[in-house]
Amino acid sequence: MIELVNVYKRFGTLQVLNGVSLTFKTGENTVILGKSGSGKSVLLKHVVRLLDPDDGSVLVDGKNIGDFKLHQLMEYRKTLGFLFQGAALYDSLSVFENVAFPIRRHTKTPDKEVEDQVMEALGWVSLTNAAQKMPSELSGGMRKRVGLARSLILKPKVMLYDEPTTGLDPITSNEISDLILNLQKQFGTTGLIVTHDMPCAFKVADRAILLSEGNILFDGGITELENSNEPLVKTFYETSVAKRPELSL
Amino acid sequence: MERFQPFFIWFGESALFFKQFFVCLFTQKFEWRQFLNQFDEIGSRSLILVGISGLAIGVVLSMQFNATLARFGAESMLPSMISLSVIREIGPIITALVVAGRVASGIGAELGSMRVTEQIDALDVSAVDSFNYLVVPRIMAGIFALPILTVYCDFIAIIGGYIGILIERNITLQEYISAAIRFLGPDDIFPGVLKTTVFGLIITFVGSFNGYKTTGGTVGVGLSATNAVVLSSLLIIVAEVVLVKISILFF
Repeated sequence: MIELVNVYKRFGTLQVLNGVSLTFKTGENTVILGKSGSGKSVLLKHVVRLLDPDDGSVLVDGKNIGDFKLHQLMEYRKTLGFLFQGAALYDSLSVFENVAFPIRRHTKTPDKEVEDQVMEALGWVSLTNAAQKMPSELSGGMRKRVGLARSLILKPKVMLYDEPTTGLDPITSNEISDLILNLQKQFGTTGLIVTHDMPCAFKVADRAILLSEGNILFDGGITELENSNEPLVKTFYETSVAKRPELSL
Repeated sequence: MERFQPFFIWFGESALFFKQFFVCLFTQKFEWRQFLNQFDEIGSRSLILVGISGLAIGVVLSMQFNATLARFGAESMLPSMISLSVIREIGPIITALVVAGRVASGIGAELGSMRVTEQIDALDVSAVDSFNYLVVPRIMAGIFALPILTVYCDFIAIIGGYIGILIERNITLQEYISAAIRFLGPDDIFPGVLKTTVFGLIITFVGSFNGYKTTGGTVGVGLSATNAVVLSSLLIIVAEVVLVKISILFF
């Protein structure tokens, strides 16, 4: 279980997180919604300790990750997968080597098995034919899918997705949403999903959180968004539904 | 005092970066594969540039010294003059400045672009200590590659000196070499070569620091590369003054 307890974060004069307290339950998919710049990605980066809070703490199974020694932090991070907004593929490695990187670093898997696992992971994102390409040869959407394969290959207990479907066509977006859902069902993976893509949110979320100016405006089931009395939540929901009428509940 | 605040912040961050290098070096597993890749990148791929620079310097020194020594009728001292000046000072400093231009900017730009595209964050999240994986092998490769490149540069520059003499007069290679090494001793060779380990440290440290701490997107990457070259070249020249004084004291 991951808990954020009264987390504050400021960059210069901008207060990005303003005393956020949240609990992410094991095996649950939580979608984090909000306008651009509302602190969603910053919140994710606190969970993996890429950022430290100015005040407050992040607890994993009751332990403050801010107190972890380097080896404890590394062990904790081995249980996580993180899909970055821009995919963050290693430019000097091919697609195959990118996806194989976590296995080769953290396991002693024989080469043949590594190859099988990499091709299987690339199959999840329909990119088996791009294995020998370099990241510079890929489109934005393909890069994101390779990034997803790389973050999923060790079948992490917790997956953090920073806008997993942005830049993808609707069909691939739908496939990625299915993949997120399957991971949760098959392996009990806990998912923290930052997204603006409401079809993806409605498909994968057990729970939705709406962030605004560093505060939590809504925390509940995704289907409860419609009944919220908070004006910004209503606007957010109505705008999403107006864009995609099929989302109406 | 507020005007100097950025300088103090920069100085403090550099000191912490330097400390982190030693902490990682002595407490974490050394990344041999990365070290060999970087040794190839810094060493092997600088050979042509260093070789051409050494050859040109050797020829120019030979022609300049020949004219000067001729005034005193001391042309026979020319091979020794060339070898001593190349091995003690000119070889190390030319090698360091040439490598700084190529390597410091390369490291600054590479690590800088990795930082702004979140590749360094991706390494950290993958439970790989990005500092130990990216920075430590680069600095160690610089420390070990520079002395080897300097010996290579010295050799080529001395050969360049022979070519320069041949333009003016006839002398066999054997005569030239035996004259060149006549007055050379270990106290001429070792200080010159050893101080380049410091130059290697400066080049790769400054490049890594600027790249690893890059902020501000692609503009920041450009700045990191430029700052890495300017600062490492400046520090090499300052370090040269200090190291010459130290080598005079000890050798």
